[in-house]
Amino acid sequence: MNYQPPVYNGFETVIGLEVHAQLSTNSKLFSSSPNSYGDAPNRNINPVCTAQPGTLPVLNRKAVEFAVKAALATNCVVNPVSVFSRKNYFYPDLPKGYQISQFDLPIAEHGKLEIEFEDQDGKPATKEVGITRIHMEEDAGKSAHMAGYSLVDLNRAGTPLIEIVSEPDFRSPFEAVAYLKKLHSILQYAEVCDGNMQEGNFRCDANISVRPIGQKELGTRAEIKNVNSFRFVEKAIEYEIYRQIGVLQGGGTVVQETRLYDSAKNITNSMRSKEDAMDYRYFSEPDLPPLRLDPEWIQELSKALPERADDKAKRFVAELGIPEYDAKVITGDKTLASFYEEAVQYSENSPKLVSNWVMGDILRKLKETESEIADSPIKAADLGGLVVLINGGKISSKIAKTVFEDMWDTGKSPSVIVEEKGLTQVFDEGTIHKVVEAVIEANPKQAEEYRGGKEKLLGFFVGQVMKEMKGKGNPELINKLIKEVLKS
Amino acid sequence: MASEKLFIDRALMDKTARLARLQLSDDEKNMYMRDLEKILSYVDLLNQVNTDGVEPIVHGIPQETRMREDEPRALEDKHTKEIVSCSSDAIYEQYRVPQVIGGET
Repeated sequence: MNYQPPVYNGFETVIGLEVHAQLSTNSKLFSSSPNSYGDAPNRNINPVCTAQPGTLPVLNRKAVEFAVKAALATNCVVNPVSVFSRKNYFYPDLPKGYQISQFDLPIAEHGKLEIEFEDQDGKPATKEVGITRIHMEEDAGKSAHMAGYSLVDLNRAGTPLIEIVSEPDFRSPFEAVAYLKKLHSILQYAEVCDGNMQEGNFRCDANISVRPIGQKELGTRAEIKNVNSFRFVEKAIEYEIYRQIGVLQGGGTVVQETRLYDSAKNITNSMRSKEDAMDYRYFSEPDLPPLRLDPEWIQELSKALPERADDKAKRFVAELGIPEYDAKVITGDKTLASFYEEAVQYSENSPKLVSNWVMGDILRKLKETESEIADSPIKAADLGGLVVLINGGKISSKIAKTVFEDMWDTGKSPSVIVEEKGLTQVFDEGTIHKVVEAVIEANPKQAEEYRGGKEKLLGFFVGQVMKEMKGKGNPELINKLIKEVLKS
Repeated sequence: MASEKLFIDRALMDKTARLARLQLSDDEKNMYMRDLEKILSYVDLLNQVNTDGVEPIVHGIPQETRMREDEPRALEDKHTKEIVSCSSDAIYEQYRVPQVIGGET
């Protein structure tokens, strides 16, 4: 595969990404306040996360464990000693006047990921991208801007985050999105981050610059902050590439600044920050001695790491015999993969048929209803049950489609629906025979033509009989009986 | 290494005060410039020590950080309300601050 990155009006773009992922611990990073989303303002607070005088941070072991797992899952080197630092700035949602973060000695460094994507011509391509570092830090609170004043809710203050900083290895918006999706999936699979982008569990900042093709030095970069959907990241980056090229071609210079993406207008706007805003005066946190990690503990965590998406896909192909394409789509979302595996368990060994239903009808329904697999009204066990009814000849594939619709609408199990609506397939030869005779009698012309050698008309008769029987007749028997009756 | 006299100019003094959100009079600035120079010069004595082959330390206490278990403890509403009420201005159980739009996030 020989991938050539896109050229934009004689320029190339260089993109680096910073992802903030919230760790799904029960309590905050340095205090025992609950780490939960959606509660009434200022309920998940205590003296530590509101920076009352005299309080001290105590590190959450689970958060460290999750950070290490994320590091291992992204092929990083975990540093045996790392150091917390203070990042100093003033903002009302930061009660201490500094954020406890990591600076010169982060918990992990030197990772890499292989990303897969479609290039500008729609051809599949792969690329290895570097992860510079992962560091741990606490989140800030939330400000709501009202007319004339702002309100601060500190529920989120102190929530554990990891910041994953990539190398500036991306040369197109689609590479950036492929990386974000991969990283999102990896963190979900490692069970360290819920990855709910609406709730801000997984947020992305993108550093973007452009340079004329052939130029070695990097252009001046702009940073786009806090974009919370994959689609918007792609659009925001694309907008920013053309904006910067426009500035340069117009004889101007790109200003190093932070910009915000406005999804309604699909543009980025300069977010003027005050001078000195970037002078964070980092120094090591005197309240926390260095974090030393026991190599044996890291070993243990490495062994206990849940199966990765890529490994799961390989296993699905090897053990369940489903096509690689199906396996990739299904394992792209961890919850979908679990749904599939559970459905297979109830399907009496029909992994391929279950995959067809998941890839087809389930994904279509989710798309139509804009919902997630977790909200599916059809339980995995019931989908497996539906496949069993089809395989056992209890219902035809055609009837199965209507049963599926009913299952989606009512949440009932397939056997209950089949029972209630009398959809069981008819195997009784006598019953089918009667219908076949009636259909032939009603269509003497076609019967004549069939007997005269126009055997294609068999399909016509099968269709008519099926219609009469409302799709419930067993197709093989119908075929057999039509042939017999027409011959006689 | 011989230590040089460290010099704090007015621009650096202004910047330091601004970063710390301190509003200082000219007299105070002059005083702090002298104080800071003295402090830095004193700390600069360390530069005279030969530290070849000495592992840098990042913390004054030769200890490693202690960790706690991930056990959440929610405070009763009356206590969380008490915390918010310590602020100079609160409304709807939230801290009310002068309007801040833009700036660091």
